[in-house]
Amino acid sequence: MRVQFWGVRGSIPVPGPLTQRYGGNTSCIRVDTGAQPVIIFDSGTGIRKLGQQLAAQGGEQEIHIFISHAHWDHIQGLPFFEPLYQPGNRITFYSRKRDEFSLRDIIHKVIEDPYFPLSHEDWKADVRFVELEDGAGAELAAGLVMSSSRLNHPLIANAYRIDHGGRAVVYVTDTAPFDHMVLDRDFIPKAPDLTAPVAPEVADLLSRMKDNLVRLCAGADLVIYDTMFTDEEYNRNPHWGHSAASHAVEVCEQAGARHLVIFHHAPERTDDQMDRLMEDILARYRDRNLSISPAIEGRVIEID
Amino acid sequence: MQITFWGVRALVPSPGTETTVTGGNTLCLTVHGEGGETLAIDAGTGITPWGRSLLSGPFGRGQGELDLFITHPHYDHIQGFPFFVPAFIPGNTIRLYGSNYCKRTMEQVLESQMNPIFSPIQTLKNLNSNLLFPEVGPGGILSVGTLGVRLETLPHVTEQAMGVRVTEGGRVLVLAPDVNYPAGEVPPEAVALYRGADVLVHDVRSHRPGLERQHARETFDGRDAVAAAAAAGVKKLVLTHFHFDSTDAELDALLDGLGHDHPFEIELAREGSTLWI
Repeated sequence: MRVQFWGVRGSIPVPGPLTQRYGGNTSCIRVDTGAQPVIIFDSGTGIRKLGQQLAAQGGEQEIHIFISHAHWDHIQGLPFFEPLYQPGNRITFYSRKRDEFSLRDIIHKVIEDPYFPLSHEDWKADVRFVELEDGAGAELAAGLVMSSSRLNHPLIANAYRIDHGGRAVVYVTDTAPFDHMVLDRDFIPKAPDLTAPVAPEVADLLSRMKDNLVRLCAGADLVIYDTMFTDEEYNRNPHWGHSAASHAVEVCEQAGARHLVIFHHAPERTDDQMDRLMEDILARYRDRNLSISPAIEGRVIEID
Repeated sequence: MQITFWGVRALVPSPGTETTVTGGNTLCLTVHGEGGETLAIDAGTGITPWGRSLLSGPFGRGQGELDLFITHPHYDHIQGFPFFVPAFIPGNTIRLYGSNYCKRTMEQVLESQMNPIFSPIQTLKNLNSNLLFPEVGPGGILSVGTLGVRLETLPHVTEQAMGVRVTEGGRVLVLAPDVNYPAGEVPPEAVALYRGADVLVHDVRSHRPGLERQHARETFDGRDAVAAAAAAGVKKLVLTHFHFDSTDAELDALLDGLGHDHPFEIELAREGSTLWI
């Protein structure tokens, strides 16, 4: 399998001279098995150039887009995804199922007025929507299996795993660690006291969510993880729904994963600051049985 | 009076090595008066670096006041607002001006942008600054310190977008960053708004029947902007709202292709640049 990063930023695209090396586009990753279907994680602004590349290849394509959740930075590239406007393509969107809204409505809304002067009626592709019950999976093609697990981030956040040819890639974003609070519908206006005891039912739910995620990452060759924070940033804003590298390392080690990719970079983090952050992370975990490397826009990781 | 460009892209931010000179952020510009008064036009991603730069001043202490004009609520004009840090600081006052769009008020559109499905902020009420939505309609006139401001409704796709005319002393600056002219000619209300401007900041995109609902790059050609500048007798035309695929080199070629024999100067808006009027 071949994994290519098209967008690696969290929150908001950050063009400019200070983000040239790591990249300024929001979340989008392609997993390439060398055959159809095309597998894409998220549709941040990085999906625009991926879409141009796919559209240039022509032909009828089967494309599966796994939406981690519908916060803007994970869907804002969709109006500019050219395969949607090409006849013959079959495009399937996936997300975690929630009763109070439909994935179809969310995806349609993103390209309509007042945000864009377009409509899903402009799409020429055959577009489908699949909402996944917690923990659901599917065989996307012969020998190509997707599985999922709920994350600790408001509303519909899901992690996805792709298995093919005995290799596995897991996409884990956005998520807070599973230590202090469950993030779902409620707005948490300020950072809670991290030293306060966690209610047993909350601790129980968090522990089940974490166990499921560790199981999803079990033996994975590559785990791409929301590590937007440093530990200190997490302690300041634990209610924002993001992790630090320490949280990702813990999950990867428990799961016996081989390679952790630092992902969903903070928008304000410059290239030089990213270099220092990576040096710090690599120094801290150098004696572990886990490779760690950064997501960089344009980077390709081959898993053979 | 001076104008600073914080974002000059249309539709979607375009980070990358091919847009570093012109810039990859979506629309935002600021106007500063002689007395230090500030107003901002549009809240694309360009507004976020500007917001951070304000934190060392009154906005960082919760003592800032800002008049922010949203020309229309398409996403490239509002997507930076949830990341505009001064809006989160108690004590700051932000007055947001914008006309109704698709039967929704500006407040309703910004509220739905913050909807829990799309944003962890969930609602505008979770921004801690004082957000005001003054009712100033088309033809409305107001003043921000020594800056006089006149708003006008201009055509834009099937709806409309706001144009802003700013005057100080005898100087005139007109901002029309996202407009098009479906009737095939520059309408009288636009000519009147742009009339005699020292600087007209205008959308590079031109109207082409049948293509207005697409992102076709060939329509981002500067032709309608040149026609508008000529009709209104402006002194300088500054093009903005560039297509996301247009590279720095292509934009230089576009400017060259517009010719040099106009009775006004033409230049490209560049992210981070400031123009004195």
